[in-house]
Amino acid sequence: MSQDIATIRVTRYRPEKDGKPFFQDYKVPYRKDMVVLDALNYIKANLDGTLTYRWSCRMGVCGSCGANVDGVPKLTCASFLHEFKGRTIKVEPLTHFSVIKDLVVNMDDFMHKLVEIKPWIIKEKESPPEEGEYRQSAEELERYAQFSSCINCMLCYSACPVYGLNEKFLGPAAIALAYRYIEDSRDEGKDVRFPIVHELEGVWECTLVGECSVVCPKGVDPMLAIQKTKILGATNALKSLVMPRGGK
Amino acid sequence: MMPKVARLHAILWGVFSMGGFIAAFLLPVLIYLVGIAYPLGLWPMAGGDPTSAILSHHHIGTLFLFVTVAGSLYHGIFRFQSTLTELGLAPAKRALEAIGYLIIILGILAVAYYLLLLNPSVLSLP
Ligand code: SF4
Ligand code: FES
Repeated sequence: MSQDIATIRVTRYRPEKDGKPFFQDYKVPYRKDMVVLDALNYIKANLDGTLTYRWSCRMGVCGSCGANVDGVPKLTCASFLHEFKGRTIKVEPLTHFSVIKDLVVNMDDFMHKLVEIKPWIIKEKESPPEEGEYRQSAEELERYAQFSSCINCMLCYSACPVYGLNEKFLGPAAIALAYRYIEDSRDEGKDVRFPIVHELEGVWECTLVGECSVVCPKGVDPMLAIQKTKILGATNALKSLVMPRGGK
Repeated sequence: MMPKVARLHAILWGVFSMGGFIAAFLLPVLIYLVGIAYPLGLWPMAGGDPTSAILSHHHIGTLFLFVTVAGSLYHGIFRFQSTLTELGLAPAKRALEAIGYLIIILGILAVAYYLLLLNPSVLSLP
């Protein structure tokens, strides 16, 4: 197989040593089937062992290899080098997160938000295992299926200008995941999740930019989840206005 | 239970969303009637422009004009407030929001006042 040479321009940054981030260029030989993550692995193995980045599955499943590739939030394991032929490929850490080292960003805020929305099925009363599984029809599954494909890669947070301006915003993936459970016919946790997603810094902060849905590598549409959650919030608020005792 | 301020915001968003939805349907009709059909002589009714005709022919016409103008105004100002967030003016947003709502209320009152002036018989509806 023929080989080309790619120039990879990577952000380097060790906050405890470097005053500010800087770029470092590396020449990487590549074949047509190689991705940006392969180039980073090549650099680490052959050119500079100090380069630091996250990865695991190499197949778009674990969600750990996200970075800004050529200015766009992408999974490095799903970005082919030949698509950038003839250009220097800039690889930078995801925007809107603080950098721990090089391409590794601090995920704490996102992790807290994920836990906050309680991403598990909540039952008012758990039934014993001998009563069997909680059943669901294909149509019921269809209502939330796409939102359960999220791999927590945080590309949507990196693409979201509102999150960039207000870190308190719950953000696209957390809301999409909350909606996934709200729409799940087996779940009974609406009363727990609604106050979280319908907080001012929940769905109402979203201004419908829509970049979250554009960059998502798994076809999740967080913007749709946010809009649907807003409709639920507005309906419930109107109900509670008309029927102060009955509405939620 | 939704927090109080969020509940108010949810209701305002509901009106914004509904206002935008309705205005998006009605505004093109109004633009066509007043801005295209009438100047080009395509307006079929003799003796008056479309606005007067709408107002004088039916109370539904008055309601049509009110919903279109008030809905568009509400939608526009609410959307403008979202733009303030996008522009990074979040700290000034609260104050500007208050001004926005004041413009909405005054605008809607003005629309209602002028429509009533043009068609006072609306008030005598059974
Ligand atoms: S919604 Fe998409 S972009 Fe956002 S974290 Fe999940 S998989 Fe990644
Ligand atoms: S390495 Fe797992 S998603 Fe890229």
